[in-house]
Amino acid sequence: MTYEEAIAMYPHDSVHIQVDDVVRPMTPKEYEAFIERQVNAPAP
Amino acid sequence: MGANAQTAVPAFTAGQVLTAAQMTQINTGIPVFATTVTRDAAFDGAGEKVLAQGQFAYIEATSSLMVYTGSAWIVAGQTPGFVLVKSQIIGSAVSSVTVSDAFSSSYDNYRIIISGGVASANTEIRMQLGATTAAYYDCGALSTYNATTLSQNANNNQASWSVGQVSTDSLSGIIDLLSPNLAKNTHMTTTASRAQTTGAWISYGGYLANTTQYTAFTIFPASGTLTGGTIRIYGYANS
Repeated sequence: MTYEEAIAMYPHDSVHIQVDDVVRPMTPKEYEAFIERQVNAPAP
Repeated sequence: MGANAQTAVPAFTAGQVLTAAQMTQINTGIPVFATTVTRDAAFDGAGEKVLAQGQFAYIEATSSLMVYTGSAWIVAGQTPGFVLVKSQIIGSAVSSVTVSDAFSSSYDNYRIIISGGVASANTEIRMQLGATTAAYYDCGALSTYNATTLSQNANNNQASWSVGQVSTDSLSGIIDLLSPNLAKNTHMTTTASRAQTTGAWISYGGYLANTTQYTAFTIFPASGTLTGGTIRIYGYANS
């Protein structure tokens, strides 16, 4: 998956971070790391 | 207070003539009390039985059968080997889930079960302890449903462990951790299966090469997000 494909598939406001019962939006840094993870993800 | 609940455990004197009500009260078998407070008030008073080792009592408030050891009341029966420490529901479209206060000095070893829910992609679940992002070692076997080949997988000094499998149908992971809260290396073994016709079963083992004492962990899919499902953490009783 390319960087552009990852951003298109997972827009910033569509993914969240959960800590115990609290679900919150990602910070820009967390979102960048998440997109990097999608780009480098192993084959399904 | 139920029909069987009593507020006293009477002691009778020689030659005393008992009433029908008194006979009914002592004919209840194990005495039943509304709470532990009414239980404690029912012994050792004037005209009441002296509390001693081996005395049973049933508590309505907690539906528990208790026995007096001679120094304290304890729940009767065997101590469970597995104790549910925490249960965490996974939210909607989350990229990671951190579970805090999962490990403590109460237990040396833990089992974590991840089930239910869905993932946005067919992939694996990874785990980190605390804020540690290095020194994870694991290896193991992987076999797919549509092939008889058994593959080996090795991860040397990685940023996380591979601990589970997820699909657009459900999440799967049965993870045992040894010593996560002790000042020792943490050991991990896991088994999981992916609900996907071309999916896989895995069985991995590994360790984390540090002696940090952890209380929390984080799981995340290798790609995509998780929605729903439950993470349950159980402690193995130390004795």
